[in-house]
Amino acid sequence: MICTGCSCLCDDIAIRDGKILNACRKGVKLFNVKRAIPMVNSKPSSFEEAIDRAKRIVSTANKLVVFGLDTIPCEAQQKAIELAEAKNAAIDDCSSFCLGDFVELILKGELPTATLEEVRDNAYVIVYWGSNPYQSLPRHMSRFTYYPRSGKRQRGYEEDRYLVVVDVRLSETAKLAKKGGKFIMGNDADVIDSFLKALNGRAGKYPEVAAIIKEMQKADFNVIFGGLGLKYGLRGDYSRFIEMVEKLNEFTRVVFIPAGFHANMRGFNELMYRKTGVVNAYDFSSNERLTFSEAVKKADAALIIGSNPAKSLPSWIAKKLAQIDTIIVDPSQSLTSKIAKVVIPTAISGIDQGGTMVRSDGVSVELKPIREGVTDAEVLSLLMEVV
Amino acid sequence: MLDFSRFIRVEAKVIVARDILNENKGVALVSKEFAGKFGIKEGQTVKLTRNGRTVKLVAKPSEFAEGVDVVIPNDFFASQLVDFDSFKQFTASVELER
Repeated sequence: MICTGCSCLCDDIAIRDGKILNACRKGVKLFNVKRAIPMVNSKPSSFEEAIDRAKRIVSTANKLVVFGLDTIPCEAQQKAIELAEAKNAAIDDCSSFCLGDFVELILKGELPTATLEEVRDNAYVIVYWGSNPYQSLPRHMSRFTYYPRSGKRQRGYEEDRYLVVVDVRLSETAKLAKKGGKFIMGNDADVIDSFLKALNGRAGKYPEVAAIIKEMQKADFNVIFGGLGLKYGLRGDYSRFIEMVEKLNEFTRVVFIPAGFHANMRGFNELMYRKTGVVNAYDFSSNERLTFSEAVKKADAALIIGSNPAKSLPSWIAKKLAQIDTIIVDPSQSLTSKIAKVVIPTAISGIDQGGTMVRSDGVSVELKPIREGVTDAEVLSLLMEVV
Repeated sequence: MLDFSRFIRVEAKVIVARDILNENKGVALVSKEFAGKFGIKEGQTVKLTRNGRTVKLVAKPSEFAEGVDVVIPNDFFASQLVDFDSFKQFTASVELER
């Protein structure tokens, strides 16, 4: 089966004699979530009562905001976009605060990219920039990047991979890079500047980047994985980073892949891009961009699907969601389900609901559930009846 | 060692990071340099305050906070201190709980 614990979408998970095999700690966590039950106004209800109450909220809302969506299959994401459009609502996912900008740059062709299988088979220099896969994507390095012996890289990490980490602090991955590669601890803009200067034969603040470029030139395939540290380090201005990648590609091949995120963030980004030309944060009432953080301020109702913003976003978001008519559609009990007016439990993607998801590198993956439950698409279809 | 450090309130560079082993445990990883400078010991409760909001976390000196002063896991405690313009990195005042 496919694990939907993160955007690696590992396809080798098995259950034998009640034991979960091959899953990392994030994957195992997915199997052990405390399941939500239908609730209306903090009291247990029947599923039908919860749906009826949610329908009333959706039909009477003047300013609805739809948010979350990154852990549900594309088929359900498509229905959520249709619902938002029909209701003239605002819609957004976690990518506004995560790596949506990088996905948009890739979809617009501003950064060259590749699949994780190409990385596994070919990549020599592997750069994790503002990312610590040890914590965020536990099997990324063993399945796709540093450790595999595959394709042109049969000697694995001992000889055939060169690990580079750029980060503001020593992470677990950075500690590994210190041993046999390079770790640059510093400000992202300064590191980019050092790369650009080194490519022009000059020394910048971090002269060690010259050695990294030299290593990149030894191979015909290198990769940069950009994480949240890079996104927030660059503060929305990616022009120098794009220039750096372009310049590196004059000397050797360097591709870029967002380091990773929720299981199907990229699926939502691609569906939105096809529909609106942008990857997230869209208000169908004005046809302009609007992030969840702005939309929720004016909203009288919120439809949260497959997400827990009360835990992961600034605390004022939870207070606002508690004040308005919030519906949560999600398999697990969470802080958001505690403050929501209506809780609608659904199946866990990959375990008890199928569908399609898109990996961080853009590859589509078909889920292979082992059970059947109430899908997010079914719930959204029921809510569409009143729009 | 006399506990003078418990009267100190200092500004610290804090980053929010994924830390699946410490999520929801109320832990703050403190760089060894920062801990040494201000006499913070493992297991002590530190108060992090930013924009009038305070969280109490258990200090854990760690090499994985080297480069900054404090690392806190991306969880409920972090959401009390962050804003959208300082989602991953911010400055907060740190003091030992008296």
